[in-house]
Amino acid sequence: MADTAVGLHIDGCLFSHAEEDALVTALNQGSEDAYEILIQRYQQPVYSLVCRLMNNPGDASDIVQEVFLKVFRNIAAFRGNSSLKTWIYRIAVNEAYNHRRWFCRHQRQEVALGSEEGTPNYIGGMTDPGRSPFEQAADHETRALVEQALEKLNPKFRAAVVLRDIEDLSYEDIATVLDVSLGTVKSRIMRGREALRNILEGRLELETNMRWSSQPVTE
Amino acid sequence: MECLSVRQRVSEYLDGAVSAEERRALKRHLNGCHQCALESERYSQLREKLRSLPKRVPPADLTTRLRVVASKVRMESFGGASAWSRWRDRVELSLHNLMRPLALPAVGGLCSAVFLFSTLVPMFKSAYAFGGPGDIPTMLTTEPLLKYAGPITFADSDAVVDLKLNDQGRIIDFTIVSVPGQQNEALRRSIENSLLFTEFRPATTFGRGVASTVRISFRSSGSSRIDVRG
Repeated sequence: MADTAVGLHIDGCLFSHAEEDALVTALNQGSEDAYEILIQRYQQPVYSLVCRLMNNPGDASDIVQEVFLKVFRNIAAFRGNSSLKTWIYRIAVNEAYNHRRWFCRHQRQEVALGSEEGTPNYIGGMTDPGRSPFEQAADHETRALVEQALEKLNPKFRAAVVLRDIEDLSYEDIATVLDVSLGTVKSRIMRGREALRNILEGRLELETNMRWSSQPVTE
Repeated sequence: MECLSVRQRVSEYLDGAVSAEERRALKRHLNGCHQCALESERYSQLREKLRSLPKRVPPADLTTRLRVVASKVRMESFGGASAWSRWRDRVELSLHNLMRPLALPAVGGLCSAVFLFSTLVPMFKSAYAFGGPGDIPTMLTTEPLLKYAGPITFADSDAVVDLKLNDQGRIIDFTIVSVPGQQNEALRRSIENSLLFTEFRPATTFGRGVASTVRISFRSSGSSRIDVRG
């Protein structure tokens, strides 16, 4: 099968450039395993991104399905100008925008009745054996406040902040995903963080008594 | 650098998105300005809190839905088969899905039919087999049979007579069909005498006697002979 020929495998979190090329080649050849690898690799990040870009996470599954449908159908059009991840994220962001526009136009006022998708689920990270139950509860509350603040953020700023601080994309990749200039990305991230800080001010007491470090970025 | 300018660049500074020269200038300013350092620290903490947000877990059925989507797209793009074979496969699948629910009832019905038939056949057979040797098949129509004839001889001429029989086989009327020559009266008496001692078994339909008509011919040869024709 083509899969073994190109040596596809999921190894770690990141694809090397060669592995990504092999995956795209296998996808263009119609390899079933390549489709499976793509799903396994990008299903969770895309879902997580879409959830945070949407005001209504209950629709995230449908949007993710649409994203992957477009990815599968248009993989032949992927030229490798950006990374596969960036390309998929761009489709995801556009789909989320389109859905939000549709949602705002139709003013849907439905309330999810206890559906699984209506209430966000989180992967691990919530429990730290070294922290007391009080600290864990405080962490949980802090995260909930940050999530709520993100939802209140302007969608454009939110997308930039999410892509930078949660998905850890570079400024250049964010510019590609959002199809804006680098300066716009910097501006949106800065203004998004500022707005987020203003929303959280008073509700979330930032730790000001920490030891101040003058070297937050590695040289 | 002024504080306002520094605070506008601190976000990029934290992300390492400034040039080396700017970084040095910003770092110098932050070392000397407590307010700007505090601002930078707040941004840094906010960024840490954002990064510590847990990842969302996709619903359990999402993988299955995506696999279905992948399968459909693969079939659309790399199906390989011609439109005719795809159409044939679809028809075969539809037929299969249609016939599958009927398979068990059909086999059950066939088995029941075979069982009932094999059970009932001996019953039909016994209805014929247990009858005596003289039994008349009930399902048939029989003609009247001559039981015995009177010992009268025809010396003069031949004659053909139609007899009407009742359901008991008794003669209730007769008609002389052919009378050759002028010997009517003598022949008539001879026929009447002969018929007086002649008896028949009645014709039957479904085993029951019915009225019937027979034609008999008397011959004037040396020994009288009667041909009976129903």
